[in-house]
Amino acid sequence: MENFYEYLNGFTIIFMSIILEAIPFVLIGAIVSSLIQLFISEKTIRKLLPKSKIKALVGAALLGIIFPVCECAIVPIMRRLVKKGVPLDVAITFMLAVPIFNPIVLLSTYYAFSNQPQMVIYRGLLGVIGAITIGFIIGRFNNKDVFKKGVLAENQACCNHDHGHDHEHDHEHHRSHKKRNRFVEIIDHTSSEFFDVGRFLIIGAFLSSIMQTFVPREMILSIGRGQISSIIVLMIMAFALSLCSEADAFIARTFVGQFTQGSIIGFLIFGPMLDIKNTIMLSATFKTKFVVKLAIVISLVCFSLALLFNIFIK
Amino acid sequence: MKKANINEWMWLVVLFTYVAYFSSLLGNGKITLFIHPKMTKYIIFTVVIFIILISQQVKKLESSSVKKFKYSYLIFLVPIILATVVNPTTLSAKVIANKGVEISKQINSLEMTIESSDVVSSNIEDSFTGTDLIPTDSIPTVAQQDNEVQYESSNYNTEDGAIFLETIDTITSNLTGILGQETEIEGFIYLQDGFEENQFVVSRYMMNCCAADAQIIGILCYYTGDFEFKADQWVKVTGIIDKTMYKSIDQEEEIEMALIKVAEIQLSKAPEDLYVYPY
Repeated sequence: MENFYEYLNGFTIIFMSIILEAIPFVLIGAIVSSLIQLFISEKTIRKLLPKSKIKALVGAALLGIIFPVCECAIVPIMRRLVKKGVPLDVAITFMLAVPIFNPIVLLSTYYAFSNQPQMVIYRGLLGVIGAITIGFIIGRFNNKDVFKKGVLAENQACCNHDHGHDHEHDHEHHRSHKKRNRFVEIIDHTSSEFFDVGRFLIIGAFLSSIMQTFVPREMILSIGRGQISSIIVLMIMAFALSLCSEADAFIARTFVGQFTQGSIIGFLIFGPMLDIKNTIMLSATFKTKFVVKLAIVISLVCFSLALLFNIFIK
Repeated sequence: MKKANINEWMWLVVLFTYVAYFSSLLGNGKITLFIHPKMTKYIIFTVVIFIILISQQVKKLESSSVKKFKYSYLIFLVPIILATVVNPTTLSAKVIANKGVEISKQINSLEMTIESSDVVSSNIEDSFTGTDLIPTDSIPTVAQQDNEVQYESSNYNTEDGAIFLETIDTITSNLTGILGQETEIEGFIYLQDGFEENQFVVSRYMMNCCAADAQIIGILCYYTGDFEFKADQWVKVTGIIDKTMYKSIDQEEEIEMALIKVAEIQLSKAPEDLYVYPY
């Protein structure tokens, strides 16, 4: 019985800590998303988007350097960009690369691997390559019907609510566009965006906490340390632990010397792209079929990059 | 009279509950149980934004709606209810150990070179950067490492947290140099499966940004005297720094680790702040 309480205690702390850690950033993402909704029109997006697909993908992958966003905050922003006309593959690349290729994560990776600074380069480079590759592959699919119902509703400048909070409009709003009404709109959009993504965050955090509390590390690690099995093991770990990309490097460090370097890099790029928490959050936006497809592509690309690393670089 | 809009009310309740709970965590300081002190400013930000959201939400309460009740609102209440009911106060070493335990080794194994035919398997070879192999019989040789500070203590540590980190760091970064010196360290007892009878780790919890990434960090100790080792008991040990070969469950073969040959062990109390913060 005492054991149960110990686990419940540990579970609650981890669960609450993930939520406390992530909620501010989901909120920031929702605010940024509302600002984009209000102040950046589709026309602007169309103008800013490079004509060549490759340039667009590369640009999207590198944006994180000036626009650091963590994997929680990126979901509402990515949604909004797609609604504003950014093509799906570019948005996916953006979503996958930014949580890896940004100054905060690269810096924390540097701290964690302070006696092997090349890990920062490996992580950044392979993260970007992976994101571009995945975006490119997704772009080749027929992505006609990937969004959940209601997500891509009409995209007017004001008083557009795709979900939830119905309220009576005072149609004077449309005409005057006073500053105060803009503020109100930002609040409203933030509120509903936060609701939409936040509930999946909580579900994801719940599941991740279960994995962290109840699944013994040794069980996963015992699967193997070979060239291939080590990569699979650490990718499973990354998925199960659902760590923030700012902190996962410190956990990754505990694998050094016991697992292949390629598998550690796999952990470092796969984790921010796909884990329990953000897979659930993706379901806020995309239909399950697409989420599964995306998950498979992400897994295969990360696995391949880690394997190639093990073969050619080490 | 307009019918009350239950969905809007629910969202108001959710926002309000979060403001109340987060504020109480900030107020009674319990927030550092969950997240790194440097992150508290984000929670303050969240509370402020939520209050702004609430100010708008109250205007929507009277709106008419025929929408069904959304159960998703209840999802938001689950963590708050859970945390309030369970009211966690301390971490459980068992759960945190699941993420990994950093026990003071000589150096980061990536730089370790081993000259021994039995020991090396292809996987391990992958992880080592090849530096000069000094052939000796089968004694693992350890490459000279510049005394790099691994655990530079950040400003958020309490005084004894900082001392703990510095001690660990001194031992980790220059084990060969300080062998034989006396040291003292204070932490809780961590016992891992597979430890011998008189082996234990004096450890603390290390946090990088939230409890979900917390790890146990400590140093292996050995005490032959009469003492009942209970897990999670806080102790202060004094002893001589030594090294030993040790193989933990995680690893495939033995590696050299720091060890304190304990001369004296005293019971002590858990400090206010459970965590040490390297950054």
